[in-house]
Amino acid sequence: MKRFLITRPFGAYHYAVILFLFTTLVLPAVENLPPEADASIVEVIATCQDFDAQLPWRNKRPLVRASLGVVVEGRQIMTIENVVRNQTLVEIRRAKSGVKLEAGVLEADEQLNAALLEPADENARRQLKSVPFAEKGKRDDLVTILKMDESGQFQRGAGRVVETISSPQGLLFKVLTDLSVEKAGTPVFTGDKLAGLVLNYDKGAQSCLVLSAASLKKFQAAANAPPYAGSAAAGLIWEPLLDPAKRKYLGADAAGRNAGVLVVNTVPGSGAAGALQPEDVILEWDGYQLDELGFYADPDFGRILFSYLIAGRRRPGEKAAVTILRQHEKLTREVPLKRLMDRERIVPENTLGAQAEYLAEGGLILRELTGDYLFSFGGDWVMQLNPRLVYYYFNPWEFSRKAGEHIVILARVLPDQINIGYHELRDEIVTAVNGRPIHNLAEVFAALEQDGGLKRISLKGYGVDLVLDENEMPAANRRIAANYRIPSLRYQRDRSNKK
Amino acid sequence: MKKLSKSILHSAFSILPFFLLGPLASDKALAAVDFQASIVKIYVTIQREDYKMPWQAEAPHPGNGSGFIIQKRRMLTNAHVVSDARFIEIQREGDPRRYQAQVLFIGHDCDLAVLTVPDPSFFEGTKPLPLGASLPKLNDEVVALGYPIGGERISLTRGVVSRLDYTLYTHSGVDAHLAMQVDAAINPGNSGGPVLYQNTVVGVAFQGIAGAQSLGYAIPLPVIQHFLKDIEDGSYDGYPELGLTTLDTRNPALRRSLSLAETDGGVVVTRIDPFENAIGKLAEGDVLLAIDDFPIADDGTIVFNGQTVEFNELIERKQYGESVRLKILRHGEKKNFSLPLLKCSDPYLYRHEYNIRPEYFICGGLVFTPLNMNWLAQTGKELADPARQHLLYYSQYVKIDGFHTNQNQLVLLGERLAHRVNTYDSKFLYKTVAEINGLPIRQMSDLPRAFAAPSNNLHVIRFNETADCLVLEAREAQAADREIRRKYNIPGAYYLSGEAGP
Repeated sequence: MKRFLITRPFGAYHYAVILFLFTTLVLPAVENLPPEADASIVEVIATCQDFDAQLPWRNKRPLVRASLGVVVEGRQIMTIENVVRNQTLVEIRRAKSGVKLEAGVLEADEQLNAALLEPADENARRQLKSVPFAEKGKRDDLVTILKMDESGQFQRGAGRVVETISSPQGLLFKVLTDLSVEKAGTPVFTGDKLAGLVLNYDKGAQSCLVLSAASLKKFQAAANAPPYAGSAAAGLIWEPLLDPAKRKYLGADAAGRNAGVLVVNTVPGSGAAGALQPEDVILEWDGYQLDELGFYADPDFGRILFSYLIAGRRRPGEKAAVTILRQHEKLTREVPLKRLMDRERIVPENTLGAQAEYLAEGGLILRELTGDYLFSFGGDWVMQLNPRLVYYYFNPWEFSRKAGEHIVILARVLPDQINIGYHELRDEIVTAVNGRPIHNLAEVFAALEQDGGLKRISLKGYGVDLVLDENEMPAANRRIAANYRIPSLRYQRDRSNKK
Repeated sequence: MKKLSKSILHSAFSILPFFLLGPLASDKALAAVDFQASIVKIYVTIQREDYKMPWQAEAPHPGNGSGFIIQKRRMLTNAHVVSDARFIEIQREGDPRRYQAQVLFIGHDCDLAVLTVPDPSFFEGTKPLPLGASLPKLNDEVVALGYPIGGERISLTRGVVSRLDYTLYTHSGVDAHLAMQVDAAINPGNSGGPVLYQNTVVGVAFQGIAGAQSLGYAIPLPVIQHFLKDIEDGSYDGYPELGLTTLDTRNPALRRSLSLAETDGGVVVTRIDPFENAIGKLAEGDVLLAIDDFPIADDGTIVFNGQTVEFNELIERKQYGESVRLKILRHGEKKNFSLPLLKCSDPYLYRHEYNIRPEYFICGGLVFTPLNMNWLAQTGKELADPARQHLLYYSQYVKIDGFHTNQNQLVLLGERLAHRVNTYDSKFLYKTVAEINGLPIRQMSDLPRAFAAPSNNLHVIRFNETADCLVLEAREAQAADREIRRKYNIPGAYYLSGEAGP
């Protein structure tokens, strides 16, 4: 993924040209180029500043990320989300031009990895030409890939769809191509219609993963109808149901030898949590029969996984009609669909790299456990970190059956007089603050409000609370903030605003 | 905890430049030590168990270490020199004959073993090395004797006592005792050899740190004496434990909340091990003020023989059956009582095991094994795999996070011997078993009874880590096992509680 985030070295230019020539010799040339590529494909250049996952009041150094974008209906620019993540400035550059124009981010969805931009300047916007979305796409479709090189000109390559992949987020194509693709967001066309945007390119396999036009179109519609609704999710953890012994145990063969998938678990707080339970066998989803691997025959995209019936064909707020087998009995259930945000998970990934909420009063850094916090400890984090935290990350659904629960940790202690004796503690789980049970950081802030400050912390596995001197606290906080140069000892996200 | 290199017995052979073969006879400090009468070389053939395929053992390999003669026709050496030994021979310095030896006592936690040779002629002309009266001090000159790599004959290295401190004994992997750090070269093969101060034994060379220089460790006199006293009754019991985790009380706010007086030190009990001596006697939140009348400072130390040491060191010197006097503060009230130190058995002490045949049980080609330190050690870096990482977590947190209340032992699906009856079961590998056919699995020995009760010809196995269950067809699995045992060359269907299955 990273290869898209850095500017391509000069040498790669020649390499790409050779590949391009090779492509035109071997693969059949594709006609019907989008007629006005110059006006409809742009480079997106974003300056971004990420947060330090361990010391969340710190920013990392700003860096520049680049991708390509395509002008879609309404002269909006479609690109990938991770290029504009934590952006401080987004600019677009048109083909054969060095001029950069500022653009605003209308909406960005990190689950889908799509972002919709709009040039700030109306005149500049008027010069752009929209490309229509392709409605369908199947295995073996021939496609054209257009990439913009360093000089702002286009290189064209041919490709072939070798796989349609339904992910919980959207519909993807795997495209085999001889064109070397350096930037994410590089557009893929079928005829003169947009088939999708490249998410990543595997140099060894010479293949791209492409986010389909069907998913992009749906995203654009949702982005232009605020508040942004996002993708629908059921909150279902399922597995193929292949094992004959297991099928016998569940009575699944009564419904047909090759039918049905197994519900392993449901995500707390999701629609599936109320409607389905472990050991249910899903036979039909919204009227489509599922085989034992979870595939169905889609009228537009062929044989794909049934997750497309949720994320692709439904919106949050709708309900899916599901036929299941429960304890040998055939039942129908309605599964309410909603958007499941990463931050609702017990251990969020925080792929967005959003600033983590924290409390650093008394030098005790309290925060919620997230994937990006764990990864920030480097390649060997699994073996180096407290195995309990790693376990909670790998097995998040096993700990809590309640929505809204997170794991609050005492990440580390910034040594000061007030926390003497506690300096060695790190990555311990916080179970209570001031005697009040804690299930997320919001409850910590609420406890502090009610009690007028941080007085004691209970840790999992410790029969004794860590006690802090409340009279000394204001002076200690001033000292800690000054010594460790922390602009604010608390950061709480504004929960009134969804973004 | 520092990572210490495993035994110094089996590492690769390479000539080390600081190796010393001294002009032995002219050494004044050693004039009284007769090497030929006291120092022995130990030849062993080691065969480790294979915890992944527990019906067979790994390939045997040779090793050698050092030892020395002590009273009552015995030799002292390291436990790791003779652990998992299939055959042991002893050779006296300067005598070409090798004598077959046997282990009388072995203490894996303190890495010491006592051997003897049944042939009485071996002891003709031998002279036991005397144990020292007390530990040498820092900078006292000591010599290490033994048979390290680099040659065949005895080697002598000289140095000073560099440090006396608590150190992890890597042989068991969990026990920490006092260790004597010396700067005399100690190398692979030195293990079990004596460290002498003024011609008396003050240590037994046993481990080093990979990559460190002039840094070797010896088991010091108090640990040797503890071991020799322990075995006087004819068996080795080990070290009693209080089973406490404590937090120091240096924080003034914590001290006030515990109602500690200015003059009191003390450590506060944060956790009590459910399987050790303090359970039911002490409570979380109790402050330990004094131990055997030695006041405990707010950082957990006591002043003992003029030295500041951790309060645990007093327990170290005790044998099972003795008591310890504790002074505690509970709910603001001071209390004195005596706590007997009994032998406890903790099934969740993840300590390296030796000379123990691993247990297993096979059904439908699925191999069930107990989770233990040896299994974890053989898994090594693969524990970083998300499908296995939980086992690392359990090994450290099973008692802290309360998993021990449901089980006496963690039983895991360790291996799948591929066969058509278990084609789809790989996803359950490394999960720990909660119940089989509705019967809770608290330990390995529950498996035969649980597998004897399938319902509708189906075995249903449930795990602690997933809501998904594994289903086996019972008759088919039984038939498959005969084929699997033949194909995979497995002598028996199980080894449980010392009994091998057919």
